[in-house]
Amino acid sequence: MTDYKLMQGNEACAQAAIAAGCRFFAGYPITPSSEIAEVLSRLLPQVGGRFIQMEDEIAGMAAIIGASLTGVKSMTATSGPGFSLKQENLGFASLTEVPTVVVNVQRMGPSTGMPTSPSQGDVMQARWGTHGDHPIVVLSPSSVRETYDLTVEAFNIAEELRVPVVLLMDEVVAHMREKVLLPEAGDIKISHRPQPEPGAGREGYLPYRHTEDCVPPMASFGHGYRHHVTGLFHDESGFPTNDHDEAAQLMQRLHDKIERNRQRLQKLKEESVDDAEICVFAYGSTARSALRAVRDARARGHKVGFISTATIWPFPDKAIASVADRVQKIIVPEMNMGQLVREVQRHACGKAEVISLPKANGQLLTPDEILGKIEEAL
Amino acid sequence: MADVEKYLRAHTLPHIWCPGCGHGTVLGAVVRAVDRAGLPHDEVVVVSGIGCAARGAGYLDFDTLHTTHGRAIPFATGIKVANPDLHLIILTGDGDAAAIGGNHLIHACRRNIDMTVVVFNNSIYGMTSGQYSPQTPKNGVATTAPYGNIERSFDLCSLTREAGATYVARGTAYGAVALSRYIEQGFKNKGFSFIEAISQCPTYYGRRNRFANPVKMLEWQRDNSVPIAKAAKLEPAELRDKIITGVMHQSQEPEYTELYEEIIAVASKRGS
Amino acid sequence: MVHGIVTSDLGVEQRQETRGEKVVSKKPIKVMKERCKGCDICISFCPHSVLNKGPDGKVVVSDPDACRRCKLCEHLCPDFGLKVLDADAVDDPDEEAGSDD
Repeated sequence: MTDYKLMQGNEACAQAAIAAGCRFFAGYPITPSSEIAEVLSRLLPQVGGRFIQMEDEIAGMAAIIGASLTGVKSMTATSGPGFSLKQENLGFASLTEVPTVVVNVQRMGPSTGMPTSPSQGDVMQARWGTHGDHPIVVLSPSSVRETYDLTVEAFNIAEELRVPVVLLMDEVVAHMREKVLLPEAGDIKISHRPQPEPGAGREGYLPYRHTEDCVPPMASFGHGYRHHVTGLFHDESGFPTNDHDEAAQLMQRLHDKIERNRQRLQKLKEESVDDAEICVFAYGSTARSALRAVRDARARGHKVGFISTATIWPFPDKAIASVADRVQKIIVPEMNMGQLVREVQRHACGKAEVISLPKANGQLLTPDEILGKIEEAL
Repeated sequence: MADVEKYLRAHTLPHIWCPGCGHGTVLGAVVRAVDRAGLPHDEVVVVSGIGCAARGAGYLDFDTLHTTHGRAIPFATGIKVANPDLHLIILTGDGDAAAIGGNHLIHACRRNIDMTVVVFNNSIYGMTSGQYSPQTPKNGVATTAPYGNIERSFDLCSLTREAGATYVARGTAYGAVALSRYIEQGFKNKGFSFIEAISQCPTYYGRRNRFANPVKMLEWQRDNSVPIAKAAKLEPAELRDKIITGVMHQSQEPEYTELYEEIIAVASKRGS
Repeated sequence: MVHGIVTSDLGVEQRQETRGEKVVSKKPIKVMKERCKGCDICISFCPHSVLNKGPDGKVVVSDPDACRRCKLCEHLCPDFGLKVLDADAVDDPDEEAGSDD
């Protein structure tokens, strides 16, 4: 007897966090993400974890970084206005290489926007919201089950690469309920941050060592390493530096850390692209409508392919460049005024015509709208 | 007497603070308090925000965390809640704690979470070269108050007491010995402890406000401090512009992480 | 036990006792010159005028015999630059006599 559940996307996110080993949540209520906090406030103490509702969004981001520094996997959840507030500390986590997961359930913006309506308006903000040059890993699910899987994956990436990972949901996937069969606990791969050799002690420990794989072993607070973590640029010892060569080295390593892991981070799905003349490239909830539209187009005899990506950043540049080589047109439907389409245009390099299908009114793009664009492009 | 060397990262000294800055004196009081309180060396975590005071964290041989402006307290809250066995010491300045960090300060008081916040109050934003802060006295001169400050300052001890802190005290760099005792008591308090340490910024506040040198600023602290017992017998007019020193408040209230342990106990039964 | 009067480089006399191999110094205060920023705080507030400013702008223990080891200087020093030594503190054999004066 299979154990199907009817589950909401936000709940799946919370359940997955627990399964992934998250034992600390700090956040602030905000529509449409609040259910994640509510479910975790109930589940975390049941497994000996801790939940705290902080006084504001900034404090939530700070607290999860603090918790992670003690060796505990941590997470927060928010939406646009809160995501804006969190940017400074998100950059702090990036520079100090603290693993943590930040869920942003996108709603219509800017500003207060339409709190109960979906969007994909934070795509560029997720990439560039915090100041300074910084790479970032951003994942975006299209279904409740995928929300579960990508939440686990977000924790794993955070731990393996010592980075904050953003899970970019949208209000549709967060609030919809779908029948899901969740994986058994034993079938879920769980990663942990690299740690100093046991017994090695603090002598010679460099918390920001430029290791071969670009991910320095991370000691936890309270284990006797007595190391310094700062948002100032620092050398391998963790202490602040104004040396420009040291700064260059740190900057480069932070970027290399992501660059050299592009294969591991890439998550593409394709359908009927082999002989396609037109491709539809989508992500998040929009990918559901896009897949339906592509299948309808195929049923009408059109040579259309479908590509979706669950990894928004780093952007699958080579894959898109390769698609642009093979097809004539790429349609990019998005619940925004055209954000990720700019990356598609950039990497298509003019080899295929890139057609934006923006919709930024708080409504999901429908299969018919996308089909209409496909037929217009034929 | 404490051998403070074992708590210092000697290779980071001399520190960046100006000659005569009171922050080193206050930091010394913190370190001596750690020693007197017998806090286990590996269980102390020092968290700071941004500013001159916050640089103190880098000089101390503990697990140290130098965060973003005003946010030391929520970072520390995450550390403490995730690992309640750790002893949290927050080093912050008057701008860091009372301006941008004000919201976090009052909520940590309200939660009565077990940590000790030491505010290095030099009445100025020193690191950014001398702008006025919420603690700059009315009429004080600063780079962004060239005609004199028109704002009142907080009484940070009243603020934190009213917000729920269970140990509140005020000392001065001049009274470093007493200050260290207050901080030590703060460590021993199982709850939110707040110690305001009046410090001197000779370079910015001092110069612009007619203090010729750091010694004069310490003399001013000495001559304008009124112990709380004596202050209780004076009229408000006599206390204007004075520094009331001593233990302002002490009480016993349930501590946040202990209350959460009870939640875990209840939830674990329900969840199984 | 042998008593001796040692004259340091700056001409300040300093009492020393030797017990066999060890040299027990009556030097009351150790000055870490590399940390001292010459702020004058310790000099100004010492109740017994033990300290003074040397030619390099840093603190010198100019009247060690006047020192009561009250430790006010050590508490007030903003630079972690002073350490008041116990009366029976043993000189570090690697330190040159008078190097801290």
